Amino acid sequence: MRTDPDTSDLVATVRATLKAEVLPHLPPERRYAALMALNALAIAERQLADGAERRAAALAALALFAPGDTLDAAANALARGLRSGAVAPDAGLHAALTAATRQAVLESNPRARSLGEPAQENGSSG
Amino acid sequence: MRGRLARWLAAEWRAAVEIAALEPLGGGAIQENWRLDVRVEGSTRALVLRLDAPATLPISHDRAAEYRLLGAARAAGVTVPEPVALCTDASVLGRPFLVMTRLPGSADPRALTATAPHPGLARACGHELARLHRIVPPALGFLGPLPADPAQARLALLRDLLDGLDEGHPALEWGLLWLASHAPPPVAPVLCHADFRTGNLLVEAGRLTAVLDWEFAAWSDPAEDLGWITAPCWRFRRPDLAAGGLGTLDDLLAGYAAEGGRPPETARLRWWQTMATARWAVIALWQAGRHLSQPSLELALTGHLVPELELELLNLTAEP
Repeated sequence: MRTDPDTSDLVATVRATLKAEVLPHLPPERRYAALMALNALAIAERQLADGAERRAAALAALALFAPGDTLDAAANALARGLRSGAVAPDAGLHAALTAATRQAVLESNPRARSLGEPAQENGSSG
Repeated sequence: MRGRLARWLAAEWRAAVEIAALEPLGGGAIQENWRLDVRVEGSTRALVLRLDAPATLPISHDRAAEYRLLGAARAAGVTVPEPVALCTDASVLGRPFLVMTRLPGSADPRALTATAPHPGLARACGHELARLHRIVPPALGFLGPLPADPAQARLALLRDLLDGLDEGHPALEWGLLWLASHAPPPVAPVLCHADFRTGNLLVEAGRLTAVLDWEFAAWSDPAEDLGWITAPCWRFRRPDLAAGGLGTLDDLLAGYAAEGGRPPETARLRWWQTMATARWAVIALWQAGRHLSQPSLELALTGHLVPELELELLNLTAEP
């Protein structure tokens, strides 16, 4: 058995503590590095929370166009197919790529403008 | 480092040189910049020392090329730091370096766009680009052969860069196919900065004081620079202001035309905006790859920009 609190809890607690108790006391020239660190921790939190589900959803979106056991394998096969001309760039593929890419954006930056409407999921980052 | 630098500068300038300050300057994920104050012949010179980074992108110019680019841009009336010394001998500081004048201002894109609109700055960007685009071959021969078709040359470069990565990127491959099938007809290339955008523009009290970071400069379609600064990814806090989050597209193009530049037609500009999104995504992938050999939080987070750039590219290329 792993001792509680677990990884997710520890990362979330570190981020909250840095933000509330350290960030306000930093000189301006150190603030940017601290904000980058908080952002990295927020990404790690999202990866721990639902990263596996997001990768599975992205793999499912691409499955019709590039069979593969893992998201990396499917992405590699699809990239090669597009480059060689074996896969046709049609509207269905555009929709699948968009769905798969949205999963990655929701993990990396759920507030990204390219998502369009503000993301509801995990919208409390940063 | 101080002693070796002082001795080299003294030999270069044939004068007694004392280093009054030498400290790292923030910014620049690729190169290394130092704030340098030098006392020479009774006065203090405010300078920047710019070192080659230990690992540069395959498309980055070295300091020697950047030194000549700064000189050519300055001669054409572009607002740039004055290049004052170049050392290509890596034995002095471990790597080649250049020294240039340090101009006042901040390049912080978030701070600058937080107080936008700055229509005067957007027009000034147009002025700078129009002056830069007057530089044409045969100047700067070291930049290599002229691309017969700048758009196709960029596409070929991005394919090569993607092939140098370990993993496939189908959304970017999709974008490259769209770009290939919509490419504008070729134009005669001019000197392009190729990273002209908010974040590389030094601004002091609302005035543009320097165009920085010339490491990607290349012969290309002048619309490449206009498409780069107006791409959605460089607007920071003001996505509604197409000209780098500073002003409108009209502000930028009015400044460009006022200095003799010929604004591109809409389809050509839109193509280069789309290319800008793809090119920044590929550069970001390369920078994230460098994090593995040179751990850096900034480089690691640059990798996490890629998905949103890919989504932006898919949004821009939804119509066949």
